[in-house]
Amino acid sequence: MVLGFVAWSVAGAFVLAVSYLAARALRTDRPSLNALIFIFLTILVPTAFLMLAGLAGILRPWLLAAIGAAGLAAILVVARTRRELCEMRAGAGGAWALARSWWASLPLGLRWLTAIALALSAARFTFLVLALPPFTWDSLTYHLTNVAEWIQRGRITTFDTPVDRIWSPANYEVFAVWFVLFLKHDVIIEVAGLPAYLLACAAVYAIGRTLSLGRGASLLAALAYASTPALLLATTATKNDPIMAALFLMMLALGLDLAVRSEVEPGRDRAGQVVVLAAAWLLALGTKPYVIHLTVGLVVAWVLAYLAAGRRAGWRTLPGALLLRLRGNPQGFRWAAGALLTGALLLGSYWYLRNWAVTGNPFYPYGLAVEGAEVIASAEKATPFDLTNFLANLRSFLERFGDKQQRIMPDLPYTTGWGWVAYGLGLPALVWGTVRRWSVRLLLAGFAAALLVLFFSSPDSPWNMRYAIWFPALMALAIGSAFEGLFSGRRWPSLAFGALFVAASGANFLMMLNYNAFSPAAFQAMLSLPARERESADLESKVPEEYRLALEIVTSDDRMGYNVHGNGFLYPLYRADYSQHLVYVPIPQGSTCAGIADAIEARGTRYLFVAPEHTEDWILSLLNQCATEKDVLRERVRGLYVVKRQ
Amino acid sequence: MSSSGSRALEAWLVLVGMLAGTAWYAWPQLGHTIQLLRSLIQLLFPFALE
Repeated sequence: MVLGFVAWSVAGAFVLAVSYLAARALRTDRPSLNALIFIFLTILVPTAFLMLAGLAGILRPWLLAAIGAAGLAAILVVARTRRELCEMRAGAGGAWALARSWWASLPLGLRWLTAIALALSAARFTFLVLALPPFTWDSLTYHLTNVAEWIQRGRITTFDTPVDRIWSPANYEVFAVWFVLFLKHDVIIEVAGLPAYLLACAAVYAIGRTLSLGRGASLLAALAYASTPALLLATTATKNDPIMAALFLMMLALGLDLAVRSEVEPGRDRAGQVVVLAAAWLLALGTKPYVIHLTVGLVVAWVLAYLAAGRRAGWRTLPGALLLRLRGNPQGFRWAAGALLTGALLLGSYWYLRNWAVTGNPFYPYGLAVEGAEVIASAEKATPFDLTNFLANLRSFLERFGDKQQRIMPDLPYTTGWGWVAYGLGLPALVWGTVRRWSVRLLLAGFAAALLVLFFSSPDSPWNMRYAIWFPALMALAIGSAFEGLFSGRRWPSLAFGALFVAASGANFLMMLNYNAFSPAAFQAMLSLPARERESADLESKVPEEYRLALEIVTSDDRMGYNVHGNGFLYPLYRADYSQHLVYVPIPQGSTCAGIADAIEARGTRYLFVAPEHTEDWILSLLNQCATEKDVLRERVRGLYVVKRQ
Repeated sequence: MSSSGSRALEAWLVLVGMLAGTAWYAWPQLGHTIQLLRSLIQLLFPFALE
C-alpha cells in the first residue's frame, strides 16, 4: 500500500500541475468562478487521464506513475510552463490573502456557523468513508462492477455479464478508479463523490454572487444546500448524481455570469469561461444522458437573466474575444482550450459511440419510446417520452413532496430527500423571493423547466427523485436572498432566523449521520474489523449472507462462476482488494444438472454462486434439485454450488 | 406604515412562514431523527439505556 501511495502521489502531482496550468490559462475575472473552474479541472483532468490509459490497456499504478513523472518532466522542461509552475507559490500566497480578506468580511455569526459546519462535515465524511464499504443498489449492481472489472483487466472495456447497465455512460466510474487503482483496495472509494460535493456547493455560492447577492448571503445559500440530505447521502454512497448536480449548477453559474454581466476587468475576457462551459456539458453527457433535459432549464434561466439584465450583457463580444485569445495564445490558451475540449469530447462521446458501434444503439441497454412508439429498440427498457409519463411523474412528485411517505434513505425511495432546510425555510423564502426578487424568479423558471422536462422522460419509479438533487439549490439561494433582503442588519429577525437555520441544518445533519439506513449494530460489526477488511459482502443488512459465505469458501486463487439476473449484486464478489476473479455462467431455460456442470467447468471453475432475489427463482429451484440428486453438483454452503464428478 | 416598518413586518411574516414550514416538515421526519438519536446514544453509551 505504501508503494501504491508513492505511485499515486507522482500521478497526482502531474494531474494537479496540469489542472493548475489549464485553470490559469482559462481563468476569468471572478474569484468564485475561478474556484469553480479549478475544482472542475481537478475532476476532469484525472478522468481524461484514466480514460486514455484505460482505453490503451495500461491501467496499472506504476505505468501511470511513470507517465505522470514523464509529464512532470516535460512541464519542467518547457520554459513557459516551468515559469508558470514556479509562479504557483506566489499565486498561492495571493489566493491565501484573498481568502483571508474574504473571511474577514463575513459576519461573525456566519463565520462560526461555517467553521462548525466544516469541522462536523469533515468528521462525518471521514467516519462514513472509513467505517462502511460501498452499499447502494446501483453501485453493487453496475457502477462499481465496472470499476472492479477494469482494475482487474487494466483496461476500460465491456465484459460478459447479465447486468446490462454496465454499458451505461460511465465517466463517474472512471473518476472512481482514481481512488482505488493505486491502493488496489476500495477502502476510500467513497471519497470519489467529495470533489463533486465541493463543486456543487461552490457553484451555489457563485450563482449567488453572479446574481448580486453579497458574500454572506451567497455563503449562507451554499451552506443551506450543503446540508441537503439527498446530496449528503449520494456524495459518499458512490453514486453519480452529485457530479450531475454539481455540473448543472456550475454551468448555470458560468452561463448566468455571461448573461448578466457586461463589464470585464481590463486585460481579462471570458473566453475561457465558454470553453469550460462546453467541457462541463460534455463531461455531464458522458456521466448521465439526462443533462440533455437539464439543458432546457439552463437555457431558460440564461435567456431570462439576459432579458432581465436589459441587454447589457457583453456576450456579443465573446466570439471576438475567443478569436483574439486563440490568435494571441496568452498563457497557452490554445493548448489549454484544445486539450480540455479534446478530453471532454472523448469523455462525452466515447460511451455512446462504443454502444452504437457494438450494439447499433448509442443508448444501450435503454431504448427510446415517444408517445408509446418505439424510436430506438431497447435491451432492457425503453425510456419513455410522453405526456402520460409526465403526468405519472408529476403525481408521484406531489405524493413525495414534503418527504411524508417514509424516512429519507440513500436510494430516496418515495421521498425527495430535500430535507428540513429546503422545505422548512426554503419554501417560505422562495415564495417571498418570487414576489420580491427577479433573480429568484428567473432561477425558479429555470429549475422548474429542467424538472418538468425531466418528468417527460424519466421513468416513473420510487427512486427517480435522485435525478433532481440539484433542485434544493433553488431554495438555498432563495434563503440567501431572504437573509440579505429581510434579516441581515435587523437584530431580532436575524437572531430568530439564525436559530431556525441552525436547528434545521442540524436536523439534516443528524438524520444523515448513519445514512438513515444502518443500525448501531451494523456500525459495530464493521468497526470491529480493521479498515482493510471491511467488505461489502459483510454488510448483512444490505447484502445477502450468501455473498459472505461464498467468499469464505472460494479463495482468490480460484475463479468463481456466478449466475445473477440483470439487477443482481456483483460488486461484493470481487472482494475489497479486487483479488477475486469472476466469470458469468449462463443457465438457459431447459438446462440439465449435467449441462450446468459442463457450463461451469467450461469457464475454468468448479464453483457457481447464486443468491435469492439476485438470481432467478427457477434457477435456484433447479440448482436445489441438482444438489438433492447429488449427481454432479453439491451445495457447498448456501448459495455456492460445486461440481463434483463421481 | 413606514417603509422600514413594512419591511420589518415582512421579515416577521416570512419568519413565521419558516417556523410553520419547519413544523410541517417535522412530521414524520422528526420521529426518525429521534429514533436515530436513541440508537446513537445506545452505541456511544450502551450502559445509559440498560
